[in-house]
Amino acid sequence: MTRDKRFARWRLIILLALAALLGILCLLAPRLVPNDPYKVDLLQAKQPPGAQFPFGTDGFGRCVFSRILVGARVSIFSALAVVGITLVIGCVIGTLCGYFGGAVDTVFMRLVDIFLAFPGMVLALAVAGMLGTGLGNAVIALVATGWPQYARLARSFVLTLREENFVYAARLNGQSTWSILLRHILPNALRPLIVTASLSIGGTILGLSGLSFLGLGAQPPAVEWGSMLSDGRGLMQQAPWIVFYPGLAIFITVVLFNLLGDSVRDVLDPADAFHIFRKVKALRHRKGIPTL
Amino acid sequence: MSKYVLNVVNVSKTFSAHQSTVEAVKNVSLHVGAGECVGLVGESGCGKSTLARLITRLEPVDTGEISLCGEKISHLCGAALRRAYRNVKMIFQDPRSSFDPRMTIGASIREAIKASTALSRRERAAESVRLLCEVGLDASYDRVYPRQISGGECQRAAIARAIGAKPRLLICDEATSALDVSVQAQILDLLRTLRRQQDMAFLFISHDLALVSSFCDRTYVMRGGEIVEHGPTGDIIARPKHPYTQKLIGSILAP
Repeated sequence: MTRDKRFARWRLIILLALAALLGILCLLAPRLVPNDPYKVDLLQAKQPPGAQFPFGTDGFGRCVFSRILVGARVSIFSALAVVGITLVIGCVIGTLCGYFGGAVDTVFMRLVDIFLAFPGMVLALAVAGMLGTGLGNAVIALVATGWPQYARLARSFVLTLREENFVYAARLNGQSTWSILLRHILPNALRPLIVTASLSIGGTILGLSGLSFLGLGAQPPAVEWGSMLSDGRGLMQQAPWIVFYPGLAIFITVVLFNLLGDSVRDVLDPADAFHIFRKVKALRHRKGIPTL
Repeated sequence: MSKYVLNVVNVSKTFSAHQSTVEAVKNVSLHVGAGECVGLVGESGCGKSTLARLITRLEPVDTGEISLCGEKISHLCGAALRRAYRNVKMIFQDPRSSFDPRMTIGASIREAIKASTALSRRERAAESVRLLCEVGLDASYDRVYPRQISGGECQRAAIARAIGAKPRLLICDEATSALDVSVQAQILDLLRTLRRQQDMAFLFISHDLALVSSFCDRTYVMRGGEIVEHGPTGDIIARPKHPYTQKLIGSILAP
């Protein structure tokens, strides 16, 4: 194994460990919180960060740290649910369209074209606006705008895979269409799709937070990072910690998942992953710079 | 039962893309008898591989009729076509691409056995190893991935997978073209042995007339989607009638 590959593998292991730690924090949040995240105490309103309230309190005297811990569960798990559902829907539609072609393919791909022609967030706003407020509806809105890109990607992979000799060989073996789809086409198409999905987790967390910020996501008393930002924006001058810490939580989580997505791509798709390293090495070699 | 394992009658195929059409196969007729080895030669792009794909129904025919062991397959689909596939198998030019990169060689062979026989899981595993040994590979190849072995070994494994179903016809589509000369000879020896041991007919597709002449009883010469000459291989080599065949023979390098 080359040094680049070892590095990519270790980076993935570390990032997976961090993501797992975040997951455990989310699951254990109700036991870990130092204060009741829902308890309103106007006497403690807008308290700066201190020993009792590590990240301070919001305008209603609720502990920001506790709310961030509890909100992580909603923000992260909802984003994972959105990505998972869009991946499954996109995969199924894209695989069937790519393998069978015909009228169904034409109809679905024109539908995909229409969806992709709209800016994603605008469409999500419209869908959430039509369905009404609530976390469930925000998830549906993001799923409705997210599946077309997976369908398009899955279709393009399947179009290539169905012309591969190993698929022809499977057909000549006498395997049924479903067996070929499930045993040969889908597993080979899934790898790049998982990479795409892992890269989009960060964006989805931002999307959900954005919808919540605009009042279309989680509704009180449910806690979500985007809605915490929205609640605290009026107090940004007097108590900046109310928006700073939820913003920091979103930032760290999005960066973590983006790096995780990059690492998954590096490890699952080595042909592309080490391209940049090779380029840098070749450039250093040409210019006589010793390689790191 | 028909006297032919394969009978192709007046088959044509045209491909259309945007405003252009390409007539890849034009009114082709050929037959392969039981246990016979028939060669199909021609330059690249003359329609040999398209014809192989039509015979195996990987592409639908436009006109004409194809029969495998007396059964017309041109319009079969679903379970009936899958049953017909038991009589025909194909070996591809690039052996690695004919194996799923995610599956071990053994898993691919076992999958093929499962699709064509009613053997149990344990019997399939034993049969997979037996087939590998039959083509000159040992049991350790059962656990390797296609990318971990050479092109020649991969082609042997592809042959093992193909003969597992005991097909009546084996189509070799440029099966040795991607291999170096010594490995080509080994694969040809293996095919000769299989032909002796099993009552299997071969349709040997190649652009190399010298290779076909060393292996086939009869030969069809194809050009521009049409069969321009056919007959016993010895006659084709000794007394070529069509100018294209004469040109092909003229291009064989003298030893």
